[in-house]
Amino acid sequence: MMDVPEIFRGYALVRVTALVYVLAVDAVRLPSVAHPAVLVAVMLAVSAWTAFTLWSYASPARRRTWVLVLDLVATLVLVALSPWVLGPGSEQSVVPLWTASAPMALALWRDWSWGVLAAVLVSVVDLAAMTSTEVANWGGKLGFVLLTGGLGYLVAALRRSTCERERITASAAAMAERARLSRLVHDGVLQVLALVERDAPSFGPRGLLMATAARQQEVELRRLLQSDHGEDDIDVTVADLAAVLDRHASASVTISTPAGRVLVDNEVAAELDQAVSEVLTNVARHAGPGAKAWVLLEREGEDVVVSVRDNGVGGQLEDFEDAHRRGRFGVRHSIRSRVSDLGGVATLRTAPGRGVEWEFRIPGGRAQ
Amino acid sequence: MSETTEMPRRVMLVDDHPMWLEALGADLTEHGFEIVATAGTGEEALRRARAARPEVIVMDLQIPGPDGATCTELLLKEFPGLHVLVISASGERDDVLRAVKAGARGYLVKSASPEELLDGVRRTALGDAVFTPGLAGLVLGEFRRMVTRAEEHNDQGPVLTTREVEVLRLVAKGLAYREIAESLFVSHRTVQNHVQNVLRKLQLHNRVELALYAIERGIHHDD
Repeated sequence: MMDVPEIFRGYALVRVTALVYVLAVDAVRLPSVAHPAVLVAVMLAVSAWTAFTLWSYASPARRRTWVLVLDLVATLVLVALSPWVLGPGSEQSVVPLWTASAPMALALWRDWSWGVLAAVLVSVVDLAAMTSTEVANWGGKLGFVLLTGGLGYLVAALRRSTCERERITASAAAMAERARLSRLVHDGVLQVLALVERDAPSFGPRGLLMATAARQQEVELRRLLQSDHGEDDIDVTVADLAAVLDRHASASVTISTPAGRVLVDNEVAAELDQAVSEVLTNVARHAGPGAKAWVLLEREGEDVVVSVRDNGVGGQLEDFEDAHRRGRFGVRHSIRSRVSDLGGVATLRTAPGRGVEWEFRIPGGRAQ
Repeated sequence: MSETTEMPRRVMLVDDHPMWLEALGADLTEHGFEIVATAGTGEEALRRARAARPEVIVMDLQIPGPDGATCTELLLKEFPGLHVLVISASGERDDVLRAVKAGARGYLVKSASPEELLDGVRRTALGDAVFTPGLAGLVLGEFRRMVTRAEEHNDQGPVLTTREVEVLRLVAKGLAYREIAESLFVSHRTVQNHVQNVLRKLQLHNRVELALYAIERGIHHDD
């Protein structure tokens, strides 16, 4: 059973308060009782016993069943002896209120049903010993029994939820540690790949192949690592556009974004993602061998701006404008319509020998 | 290059990969730099920089503690004249930005070619800013963030001129300084100066932001 220190603290406060009450009540009625000397002995014994039980209950290892049982037996004996010590006509036991301590301890550290049983036992002995036929007393006893059971039940629930919380915290810590270790491993791999990319070309044509392969693997691994982030997203209606665009990074495509996340509606992210990948497909097909592309993501106030530029062969703007008629740049139309469906504007700039540049500007409101 | 006679040549390399240290060190030595120290951890970097007093530091961001960005912050606080070039394999954006805000002169990815790296170190040594398109995108985003934050405090944020924004966007879109100079009809040096100014403003405003943050938190003494 899991230990929640607050439970003991609360219990100790109740038990000590009850003891103080017992001492006060007994001190006041000491002159009028049948056996004052015995009552003084009871007061001392109860104080010592309270101290011992609190010491025992403070730590889970010392909460032995025999202490709990002895606690209950002591309570029953004191309650049973009360009429003899106090003399006829007394309404309360020698340990009023304090009688709740032993049943409470059983309810807290064993089970609520044991607590209820103990409370019933104490109440019955109390009523029997007092030989009171006053029915009005029964309500108080019943309340005591119910409270003891309820308390035990609540504490069990509290303990379960604390246990659950600790389990979740522990697994989160384990996951963070695993992520840290994998980052270390991946970083080592990335470093070796970078070294191969750097030095292999000097080994001739085969080295060049090695360097290219290393570069591809580096990009793949980095993409994998980046897609790992943000998977803890709870909100599924928005997406991090920076992470979405990052997936286009490759040996020939550089992605530049602000630090942190750029959250936009899922639909905006998906459409821009498609538009960018169509532009990049065009670059790969038509910009010429060795052409590179750069994607820049900006947030200007409320607007989101995505620019895609390549350093390829470019062309006449007019050719691009009616390219869809010739079918060569058939996707051009869908690039524009994707962006305008989002309420945005797509601008195209190009000239022969100067590459092609697209700019997509999506107004605020759609972006979050 | 006539300025090379003036160029600081005492370099310290910080990286936890011995192979990498060796390769870069050999390249730099071959081109007239002197490797005065190398370090594999943040702790070593701090200790050895104090002892060897390099003029240029090539700093990998992913090193055993304290990390490269923190080392950059600490070392530049202690030696403001130091030129730091930040290198990273995994391109962790927040760390790159932190190092640059603390005063690093530039940033390159580890997969840059040996020529690019050599050129980067050379430019860093001369005090020029070394920007990749990725870093330009980060810095643009950071200025916009800082302006928004300043507006929330009814404050004047760090302001970039239209020209500076223009240059930064062109760098982010992969244009070389030469191409930027051509398309804006200015000299190569002017482009370089714009980039430099942007970096200076970023670092200056970073100090202002840190001070503001300290005041907001009720820390009034300056240490």
